[in-house]
Amino acid sequence: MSKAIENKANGQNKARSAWSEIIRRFKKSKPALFGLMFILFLVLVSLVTIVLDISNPEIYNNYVIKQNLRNKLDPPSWQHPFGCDEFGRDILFRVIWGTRYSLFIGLISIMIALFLGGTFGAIAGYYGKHVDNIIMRIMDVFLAIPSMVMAVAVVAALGTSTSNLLLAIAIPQAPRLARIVRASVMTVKDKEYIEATRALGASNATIIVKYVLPNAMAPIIVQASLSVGTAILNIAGLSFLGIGVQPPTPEWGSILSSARTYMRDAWHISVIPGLVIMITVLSLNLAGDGLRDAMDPKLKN
Amino acid sequence: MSNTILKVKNLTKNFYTASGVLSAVSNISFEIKTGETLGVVGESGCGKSTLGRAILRLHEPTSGEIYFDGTNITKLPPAEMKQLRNKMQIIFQDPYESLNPRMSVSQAIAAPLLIQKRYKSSQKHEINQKVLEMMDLVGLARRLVNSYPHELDGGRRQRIGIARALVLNPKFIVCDEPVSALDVSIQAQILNLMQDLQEQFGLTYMFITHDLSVVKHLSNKILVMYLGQMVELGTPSQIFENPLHPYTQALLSAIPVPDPNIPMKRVALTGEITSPINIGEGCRFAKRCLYAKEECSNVSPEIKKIEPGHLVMCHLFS
Amino acid sequence: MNSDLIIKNLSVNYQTDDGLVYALDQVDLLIKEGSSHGLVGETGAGKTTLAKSVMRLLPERTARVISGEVYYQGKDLLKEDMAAIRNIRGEQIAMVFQDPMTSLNPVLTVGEQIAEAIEVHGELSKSEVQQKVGEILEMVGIPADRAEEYPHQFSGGMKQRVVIAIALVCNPKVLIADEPTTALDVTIQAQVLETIKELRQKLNTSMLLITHDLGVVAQNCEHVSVMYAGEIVESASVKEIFSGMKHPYTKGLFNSIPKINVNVTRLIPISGLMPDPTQKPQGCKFADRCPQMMAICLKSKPELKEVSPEHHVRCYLYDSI
Repeated sequence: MSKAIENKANGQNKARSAWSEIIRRFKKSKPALFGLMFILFLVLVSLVTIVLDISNPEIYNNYVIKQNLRNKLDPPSWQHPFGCDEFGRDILFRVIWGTRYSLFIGLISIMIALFLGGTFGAIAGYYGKHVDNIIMRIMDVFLAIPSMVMAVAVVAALGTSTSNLLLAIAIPQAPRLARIVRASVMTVKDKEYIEATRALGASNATIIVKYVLPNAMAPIIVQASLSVGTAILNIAGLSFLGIGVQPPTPEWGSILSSARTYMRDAWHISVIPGLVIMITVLSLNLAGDGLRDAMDPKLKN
Repeated sequence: MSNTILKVKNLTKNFYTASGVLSAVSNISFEIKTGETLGVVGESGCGKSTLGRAILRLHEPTSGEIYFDGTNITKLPPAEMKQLRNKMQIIFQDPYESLNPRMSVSQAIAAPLLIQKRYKSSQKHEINQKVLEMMDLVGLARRLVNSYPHELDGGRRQRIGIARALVLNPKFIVCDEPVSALDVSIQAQILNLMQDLQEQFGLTYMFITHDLSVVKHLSNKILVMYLGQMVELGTPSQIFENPLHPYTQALLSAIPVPDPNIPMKRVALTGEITSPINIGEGCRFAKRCLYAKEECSNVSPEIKKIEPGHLVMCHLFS
Repeated sequence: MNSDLIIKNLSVNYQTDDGLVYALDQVDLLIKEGSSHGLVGETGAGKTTLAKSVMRLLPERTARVISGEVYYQGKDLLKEDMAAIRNIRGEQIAMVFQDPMTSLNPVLTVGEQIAEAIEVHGELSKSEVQQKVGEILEMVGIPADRAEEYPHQFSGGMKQRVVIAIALVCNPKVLIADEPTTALDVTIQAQVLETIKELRQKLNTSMLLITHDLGVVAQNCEHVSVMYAGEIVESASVKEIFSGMKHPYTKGLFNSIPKINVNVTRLIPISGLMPDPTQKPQGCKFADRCPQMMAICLKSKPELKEVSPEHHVRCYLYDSI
């Protein structure tokens, strides 16, 4: 009943932009809101730890990486709610300090992937024909390699460092995002308002950047937010294999990796970080799904 | 240079598709005088929209020439073409599709001014003045200036489309089915608005439509298209009172008359429009034509002048 | 049994984010057995809601039938259970939708889709079904051997014929056609309407033809009702309404269409826009667009009045008659 909205607008002249409409609809989904809240909470947690590290590096040294073999493999207790690991370090501290690695590597690597995939996808989608064919066939080659294998290959070739890790996570994701961007750009570029803009004399670059991309954004944002979850899993996977974030840095995947040996004696050091990863990825997926529903005009009412 | 604003000579546009050559516009020639309206009529897939877009060079013509104000614009380089876009504009069919959903009314109307660098984006006040002026002109209430297209109904959106086309002060506007997507009561409002604007600014229209009755009172000349070809060209009275081409006759007789006392005397037109892909020689209407002779499907008919200003392409008249 | 379709006092609301939308407001309609009734109105007038109410196809999540009855063969369709409705759909009352491009299943052949409609309602042998598919296709002007083809191999007009064939294959008593030719070209529209006309005469089917095109009504219907903002504002025989339309909205609608048979230099539009469907004004819904508005029009809602036999108008201008 878009008529209803129109007529309301006539009476009130309240400018409701497409984005505020999306936010309004997003808020109606409880799981999506929960997901978003949890992610914002994690962002807050990582920011707090970063500030703490700068103001007082002792906390990191004393509680996060300092070994305390007296507490080795202690089960959860009031003093150590998440228990202690094989070196007697408090797992709660390690998980909290590990948040930033998973979260920011996930976010930044997807941004890199989005930039790479987005550029190629937009060019392929907008220009079509041979350009499209060449770019997308190269992307297909990348898609044919399992993302974990490719990430391992990238790290193996370039060595283990944070920036290489970012690339290792980003490169396998880029072709996936390129596909989405291309499809989305292709549907938008044939819209009449794009033609109208061309009839006004606007250049291709103006049209792509100012007209096509903003309108093609919705599915891209959704896919990207879902990809962050995958990226976090990949980081954990790489760390688990021992080629991701290096110990003693408390990355979630590396905590899991070292816990593997003690799985029979101390369940908590593998289960608790595992649960944290799971809830984080779940939150990202819930938020992403909510975003998709909120952005789908067909589900408007 | 007479008062002919647009002259099209042997314009042809082919699309090269996977299944063959699609002949969308085939060898069409006509002229429009300044301040007049040419109605282009035909059914879906007849190439009328492609014709309009080819004239504006939104589709590059395959062959033929387009003269605008005496200049051949067929091969004009992009920079000069951009200048020319100040003078020739287009209004689209679907007001739901032709406006950027992320742009408010004022942004949509201001966009042409910025693209053509009439104003710098810092000249907020001047731009705003111009936008409000345009809104008054096309009958949009000023309070809607910050609304978004999805909040407005079809008629109002089409008014934005008209304002966007007019803001650069063009001389010639291609109107591609500007009222087909609107309700009848709104349709009349928009048609009247377009008539008023034409009078006020001396605009020249090329009015593309599938509905003969819409162009009847608006046009000085009507061009009937079938499968990319011009089958008949004449004044409204020539077309409506003395339609010569069998297709024009069929088209006229198929329109349901809103009067139960005038029963339809339908010219039985069988079959449907055929595919314009890899089309051969001969009259393209031959397969559906009641009067088709053998030569019709083999030899393309010549365009014949029957009386001053009345052209028809049919073997019946050769 | 008498197969009139009688709609009485039907009101339907939709619940939306923007509030309650009053889609139908006390609509009365009578479609006599074998007759054809045109329903004219613009977008948002409630035409499709009316059709869907009769077929019980309203979206369950948002639509509410507030009041009213739909009588067919002595039963109130709104009170029947879904099993009974399924028996009526297709066999007694069939519907044709606007867009032939989307109302056919692309993965089944045309023949299979028609056969399905037969099999749902009758117990015929395979060969009998095949024979019937061939017959109905020939009836709508499609060679029977094209039954093996898929919808994408047909053009728009042909698809709509197939849709009509599916609707009519079980000899329904009532056909509801919701803008059946709006998506088609005029020459094709003429062919499709002719096909419907011929079939109706053969099968004695009554029809509710929903359209925004007064021309289509004038040429295809015996009776017509004009809808505006969820209400019927005028109802009469086609001959009567075109010779003496009474309601200002009907007049306005007629004046705003360009007519092929009359010369005009300028159209006379109806000013303003459709009212907000979430608001229920006290008075006449057309009042703020009406050139002949009176003080009373804003105060209370006019009733449908009979101005001459079988000609009803909802307007205070004809109150004294």
